[in-house]
Amino acid sequence: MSHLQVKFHTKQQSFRVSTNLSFFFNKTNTPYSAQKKLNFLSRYKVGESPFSVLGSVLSSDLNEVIHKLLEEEERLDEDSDKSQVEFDFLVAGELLRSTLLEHIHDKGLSVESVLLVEYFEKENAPELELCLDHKDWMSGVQLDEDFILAGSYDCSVTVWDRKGDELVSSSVGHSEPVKDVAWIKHSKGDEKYFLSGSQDQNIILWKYEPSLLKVKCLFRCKGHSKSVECLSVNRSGTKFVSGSWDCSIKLWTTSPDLEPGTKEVEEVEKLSSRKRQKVEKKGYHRTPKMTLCGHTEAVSGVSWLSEHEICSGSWDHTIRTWDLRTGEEVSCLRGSKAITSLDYSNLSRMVATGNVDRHIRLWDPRSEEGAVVKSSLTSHQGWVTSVRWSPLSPHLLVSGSLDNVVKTWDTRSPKTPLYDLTSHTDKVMCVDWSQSETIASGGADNKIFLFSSNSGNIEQKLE
Amino acid sequence: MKVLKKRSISDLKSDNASSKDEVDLFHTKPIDSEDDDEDGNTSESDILLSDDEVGEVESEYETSEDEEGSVREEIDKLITLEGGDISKKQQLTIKQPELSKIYTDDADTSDEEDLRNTVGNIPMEWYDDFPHIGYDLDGKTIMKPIRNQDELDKFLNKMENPDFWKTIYDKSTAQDHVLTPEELELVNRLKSGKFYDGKMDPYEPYIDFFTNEKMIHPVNNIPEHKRSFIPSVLEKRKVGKLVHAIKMGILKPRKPKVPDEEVKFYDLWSDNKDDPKTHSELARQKMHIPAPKLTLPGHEHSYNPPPEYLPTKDEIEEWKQEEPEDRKLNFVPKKFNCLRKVPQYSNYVQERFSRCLDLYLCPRQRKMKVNIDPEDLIPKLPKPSDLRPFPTFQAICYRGHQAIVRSISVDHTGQWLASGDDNGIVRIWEVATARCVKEITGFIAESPIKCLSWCPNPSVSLLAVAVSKTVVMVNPSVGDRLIYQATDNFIQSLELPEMNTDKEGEEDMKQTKRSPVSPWTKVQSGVQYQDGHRLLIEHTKEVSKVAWHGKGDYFASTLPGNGNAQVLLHQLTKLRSQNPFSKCKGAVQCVLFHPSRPFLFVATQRYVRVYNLVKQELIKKLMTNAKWISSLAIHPEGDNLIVGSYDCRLSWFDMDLSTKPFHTLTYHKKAVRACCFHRKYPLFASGGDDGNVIVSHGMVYSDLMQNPLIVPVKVLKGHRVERNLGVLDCCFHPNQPWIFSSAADNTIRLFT
Repeated sequence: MSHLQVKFHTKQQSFRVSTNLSFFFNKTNTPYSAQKKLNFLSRYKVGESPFSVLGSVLSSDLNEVIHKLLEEEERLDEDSDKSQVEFDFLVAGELLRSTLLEHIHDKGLSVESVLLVEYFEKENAPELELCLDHKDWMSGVQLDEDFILAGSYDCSVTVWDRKGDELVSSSVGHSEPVKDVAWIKHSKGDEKYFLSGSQDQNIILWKYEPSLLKVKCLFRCKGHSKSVECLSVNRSGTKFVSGSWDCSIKLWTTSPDLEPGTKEVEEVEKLSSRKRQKVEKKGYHRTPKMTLCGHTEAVSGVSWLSEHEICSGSWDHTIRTWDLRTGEEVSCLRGSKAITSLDYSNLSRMVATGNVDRHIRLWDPRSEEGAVVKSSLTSHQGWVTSVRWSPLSPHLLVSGSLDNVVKTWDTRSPKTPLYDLTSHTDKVMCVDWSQSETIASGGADNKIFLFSSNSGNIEQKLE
Repeated sequence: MKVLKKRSISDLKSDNASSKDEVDLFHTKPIDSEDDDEDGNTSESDILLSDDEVGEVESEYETSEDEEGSVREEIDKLITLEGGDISKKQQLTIKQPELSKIYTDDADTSDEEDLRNTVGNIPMEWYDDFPHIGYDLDGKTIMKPIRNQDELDKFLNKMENPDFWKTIYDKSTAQDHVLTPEELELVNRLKSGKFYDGKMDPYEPYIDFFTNEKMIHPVNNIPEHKRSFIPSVLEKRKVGKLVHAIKMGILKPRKPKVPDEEVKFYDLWSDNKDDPKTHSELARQKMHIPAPKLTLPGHEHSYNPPPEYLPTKDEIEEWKQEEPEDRKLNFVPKKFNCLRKVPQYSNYVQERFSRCLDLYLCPRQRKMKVNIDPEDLIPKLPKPSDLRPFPTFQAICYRGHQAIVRSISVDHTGQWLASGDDNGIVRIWEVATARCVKEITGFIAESPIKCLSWCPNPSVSLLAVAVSKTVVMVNPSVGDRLIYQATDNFIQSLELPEMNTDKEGEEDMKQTKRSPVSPWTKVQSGVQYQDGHRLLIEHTKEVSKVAWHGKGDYFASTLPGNGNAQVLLHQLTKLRSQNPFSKCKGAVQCVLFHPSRPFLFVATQRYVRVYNLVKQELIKKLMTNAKWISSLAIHPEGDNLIVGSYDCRLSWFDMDLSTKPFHTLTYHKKAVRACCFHRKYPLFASGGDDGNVIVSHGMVYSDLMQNPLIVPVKVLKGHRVERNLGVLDCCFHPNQPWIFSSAADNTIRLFT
């Protein structure tokens, strides 16, 4: 077995055990940009001298090497926790998952030169935090700091608190299965607002009053002619877009107040009853501010790129970017498989899509040059129904699939996921990672699982 | 100097001629050699003996025949040899002084030999009549010695005289001469081709006067003479003369040699070349067929074969029982101790004769062997991977049915899937999530749902379900609310044609008796209405299939069995039914509308008939070569049709090409139950009882000259075979390259 020259380096700073750590093996004198950072903190820093390791080493072996090195420098003694710290190794932009030699061969690197191996603390395995039962399939889930919001196929929208107690459930609003839910971040007092889109073609803007444990249907957003598939609220929480089976994307406002100048029709539904004609107030109508047409098939995912730009994925295999000021299509990326879910990350500036061919694909929505698909993550055995980026790390994302598995991914290891979360016993319909420390997933086994992901990238937080 | 030896011989002759007395042969040499010296540069002609002279010499010697012997012959030879040598101009150097010394010694020993005959080189016959033989130096006659030897004396001499063999007769002296040992040795030496002088060393190192090396100071450095640079006047004159002669015609070029006429032989065996050869002769020459070879003898032919080749008694009996033609061997191998005990082969003549017959009756025909690589015969099909997209793996399994799912149908948006099972339950599924959104019951109890089909009209939400003897129009109320509400209103607004009230109605009734037409009824309320049932069409027989026209107004139902009313056409907007055929040939299996033209495809067990509904005539009859057709599907363009049959075939018809299958796919192991075309992608598929769905690429080109490209691309497995039933129905997603299949294992699967 051939020997390889390896040099470790870390970018990691030593705030917490969970910080990222990168070892850095630099053969040349040109300093890596992060090297400067290293100098003042770098709890996990090791010497810069190159090491010779066997080509057959795995990341576990490298782990030992690092631990040995750290022991030598007597850094680990300061904190007993550190002896349990595991590291992940980044070689040539990809996480080391096979032997070092295979990895190098795959990457087409020379075995002659000194390898620069970056190392950082490994993501901790998500731990099952909570399991919520429901009556029917869960179709959409989103977390708030305090609450868990979920939509279900039994036409209901349910709010739990983070301890797992069901606070309120409303099944009056929708007449067909709810397909997606979303919180609106209003900072007004106690009240919380959220949205739910349903197969009955409506989106309802709900108001939740935690003190009273009540939900109220504020507005009924009518305009779609078919099932509403996806919702996305912008960062400031003033607008949202919805994608539907009728191939259109509609833009709405989230204002809880009646907007002057617009026709907000109060809907009154007559419930036929022999004894009496009961009139029930079902809320006001709201009409879309804008309709974006261009997709030829169902829109399955929308996400905000910026305050004025959204992108959408559809079953017609395209990802389209729209400018909301002009209402026009900016660009169109064509894939080869129907898209079931889409999410955009502000950190990595990439769009992740779940596809029906079992892959997760990463796209750069702003460039049309070169390969459209920047990377594809392959491990699922069924349709990827849902993908969500981590709010903190530009590399992490979570995906749910029809093969009953939720997987967390590091985009730097496209073949192997970080962790498989196999709690679900049926199809995973939705995942959520809007709260950095918690991953939520709902599935056709009528359950919502919450996993604590205590890994979040601290550096980002600090910044 | 150089040719001294030859000269000596010529001198010898002259001496012989001159001296009548016994003179030593070689005695005169020294003197003559001196003469030679004096002569100096005498021309070679003097030196050379002409052939005549040699002959003379020989003849002279031959005269003394009495002295026969080896020596004589040797001497004769010597002389002829020397003559030859001379003619070859052998250059020999002889040291003169030694030779002369020898001979002078001889001369000293015998005085008589001083007598010199001075007659010279003349024929001695001239002196035959004289008593003398010549003249000596003083001019006195030399008297002939008295020799009166008769034959007897010669013989006695020969017998008695031990020196006879070396005694020669000297003509010039007319005396006998006994050769001395020296002379004998000389003769022997000459005879063996050596130098006559034994002390002569012919191979002494040669020292060249001029070295072959170039010297700094050349021996001769005279510059080229001036003359050598001036054209020769003599040559010029000579050439001038020749030119003149040629001009004047005096000098003529040599006549070209006339080649000798070729000697002709008469070819006794050749065919007459004038007669052209017949074709058969030419052919036979061209294609020589060698006679079949005899098989080489094996161990069984041996006189002493290994024991395993010897037949047992039973085998011999069997051999005898067999017909001679059937026998593997035409003899029985036997064992003999040794070869000489082998008797004569009794069958020899017979065998030779049969061999001759073989040769004579051998079929003289050359078998044309075709060397074709079997790979070349396989048509060049593109790789399946180049024909993407097509479904490759199972994505979703729709579970929930408790019985065999006989029929499935996807609505035109691709969002909903309807399926009907043998328990009489119709389920509506959400395609993307495998969620069963509706379960429609209320059909005739326990009767299986034979067939269901979505109305292709996008503005109507209706599902035609064939159950038992009825076709039920179901509004599943999924999808766009406006549409399914509009559908309900639309059906409410329809008016049933009045039938039974007036006379016309009675006539209709009569007609219906003749050709039973199914009456329509509306479902107005009740559980069935809530389940979605809207319209009911009663039939007289079990309905097996329903098929919509592309626009969604007409649909056809199939009532298999004997009788005339096997196909009924229904119009939704007018709630009317009619029987298009007064007579039906064969048992109708299924019917199909052409997507764009008013054609109806009616598949009976073996044929597919194409009718024009407007003109009401039969257009085509497609010969499927199948025993029992199970399903039909038509390409969205309408020119190509696939026919699945229970004998495992799927036949592709190009309607413009022929009434026979353009291509037949036989990849299913068991009966093909269903087949379908994709609406947008160039795909078609078939499902069979072997539980497989086979997806094929079927590209139809707009260029009419180009044949469709049919490539099987994928076998989709997943369904279990239960009760010998596999995949019962399959249909493509309208927009995606996905296929749904329903099977006897109560599941529906989506392959993407």
